[in-house]
Amino acid sequence: MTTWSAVSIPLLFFWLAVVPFFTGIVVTSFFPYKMKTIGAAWITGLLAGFVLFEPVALFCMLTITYESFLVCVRVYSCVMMVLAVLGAVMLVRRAVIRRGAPGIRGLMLALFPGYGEETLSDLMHPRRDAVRFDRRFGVSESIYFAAFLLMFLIQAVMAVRYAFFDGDDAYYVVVSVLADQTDTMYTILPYTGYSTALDFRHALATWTLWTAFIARSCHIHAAVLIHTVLQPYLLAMCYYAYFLVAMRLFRRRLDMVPLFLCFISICSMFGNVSIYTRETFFMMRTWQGKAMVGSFIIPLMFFLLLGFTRDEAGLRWVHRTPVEKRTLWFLLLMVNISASFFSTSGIMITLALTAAGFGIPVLFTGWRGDVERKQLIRHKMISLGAAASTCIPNVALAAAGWLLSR
Amino acid sequence: MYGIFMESWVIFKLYGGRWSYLLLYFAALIFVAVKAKDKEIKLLFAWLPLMMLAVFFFPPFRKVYVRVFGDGNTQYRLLWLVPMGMTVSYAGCLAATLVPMRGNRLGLKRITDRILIPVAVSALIMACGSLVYLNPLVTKAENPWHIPQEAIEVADIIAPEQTPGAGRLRVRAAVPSELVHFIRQYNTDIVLAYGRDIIAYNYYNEIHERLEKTERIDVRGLAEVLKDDGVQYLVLKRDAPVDTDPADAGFMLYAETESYRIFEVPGWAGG
Repeated sequence: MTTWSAVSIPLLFFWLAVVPFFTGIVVTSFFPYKMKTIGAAWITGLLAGFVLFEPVALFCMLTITYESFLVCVRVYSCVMMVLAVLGAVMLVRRAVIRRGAPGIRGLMLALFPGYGEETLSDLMHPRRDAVRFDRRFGVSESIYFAAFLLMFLIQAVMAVRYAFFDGDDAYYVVVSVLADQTDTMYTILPYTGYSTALDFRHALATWTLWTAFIARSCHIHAAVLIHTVLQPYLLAMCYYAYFLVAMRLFRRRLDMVPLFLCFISICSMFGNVSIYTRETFFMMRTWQGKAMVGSFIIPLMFFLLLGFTRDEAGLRWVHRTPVEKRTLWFLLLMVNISASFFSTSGIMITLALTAAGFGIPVLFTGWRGDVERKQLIRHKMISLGAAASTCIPNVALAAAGWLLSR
Repeated sequence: MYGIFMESWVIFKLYGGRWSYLLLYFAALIFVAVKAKDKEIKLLFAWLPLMMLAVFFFPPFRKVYVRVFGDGNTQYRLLWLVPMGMTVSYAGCLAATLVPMRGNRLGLKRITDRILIPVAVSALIMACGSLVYLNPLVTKAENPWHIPQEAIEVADIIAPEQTPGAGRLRVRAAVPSELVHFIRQYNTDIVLAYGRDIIAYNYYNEIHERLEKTERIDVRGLAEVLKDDGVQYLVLKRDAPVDTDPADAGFMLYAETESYRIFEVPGWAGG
């Protein structure tokens, strides 16, 4: 049985780094300039990839009887390649028409404006946070970053060198291997290999099929990809989500970000107090969809919740610009759909967090005289409606799955 | 209602495992609720989790959950909405930021908030938690698939040779429980007589009953059942308690590995 081929590593780099990055360039082109960074492009590109895979996979699953996975791979590859090429063109365009400082630094700022220092108009903006916006780190912060990176490296090496047994792999990993080896999508029982009707309960979460897509595209055995390659990659993804949370949490004390990451890393390693904790799933079952809901989607939700409640200048959410509001709702929509992409239980979790996390601040925002009462009520209704509308795809999916499974 | 509440309580206790971890979390929650300046942070890390916990323990909620999902055993996932790791981490950072400046003793402040508090918080987390790498389910990987090497050897022996363009061939095999989880993670051309669901959920399967749930395997009876089920290969542990030599019952020894013997089932349907 072939483990991998000579081209697997460059193809893995292509599908897990290059394509998400350029896809993210397209997505972040509509975002405020402060979100146009390399990391933001990568993470939003990944989210966009997950969101796009769900309808493609579901369509193939429900309408194609034979070789549905083969069609899914071809269609999805085309979609992602188009987006990646578009992103590359946009990036080249930014480099060509750049204005500002010459040289490498000027090029970087033209490509990724989010790394730029504030302009004079930013400094003069009434919404600017005047307390602290200094991103320079001292010696101790550098040491903490190094400690965090060391812990991450240890976790990555352990993920590759050690096997984490879990009985659910007999289902989820086998679904991926089946898709890659037989071009079927949830029509063969993973446990035994007998044919079955479409398993709607699990089929709505197409994460296992996405991993099969990566395995097929990179010519690597699906189980090898999941257990050996994906685990460090997913750890990095989740820690980046925590990094985003930290940047929002400590907007006035950015020197605390490395320390926060160190604590998160230690909590993750020492959170194995039972088989049920999020930390146990994160470290031992990283590749499973429900673990990704707990360790990737939930931190992203907190990142968005913090962004919603905590404005740059400490002013309330009613004063966000239209671009910022659209960005927030769009990201929330992508995160919600990604939750159902990872696991059907993700639907329930993100619904609860959206309802409570956005509903409570909106409903309990009192009038303080900074806007007209009518305007405040209008803002509330729009925000509640926007938050609710980001849940519509999940609710529709859940309802469809429930109906189809009866 | 009390009974339903106690079910949720048991799930919560099982989730928390060691009480020290839960105590650490609640201490961090109270610290954040009291000391955090921003009410948005108090909302997300203190009041919202308490609300989630209240809903979790609310008996009617469990009734609705079981009715909707049909399985109350996954209710623990709602506790993932309680950000224990983030709360403890934030509380540790908050403690470091609260160290006051006293006169010109900048060096002492630096030592306290940059070294002492972070080390103390880290030590507390380690003492209250449990290192994942000491879990008995974590073992050294024998191959890139992260499954036992012998499972791969058995699968390679019994898997059919595929001819391109000729349609996919499959074989059916009955394997011991310890191989059931792994064989199909490697090669899905091997169809198993029973799967992991039989073992995990204690469902009835005649082959599994005869192979694993008996003191001594009735080899001739097993041969009949395997033949009727169209199973081609039987994989037995070397020290499996059999009432007679499988060769006497018509099994042909096909191959051996370090711990297993692989037999061809006599007169299987496809043979």
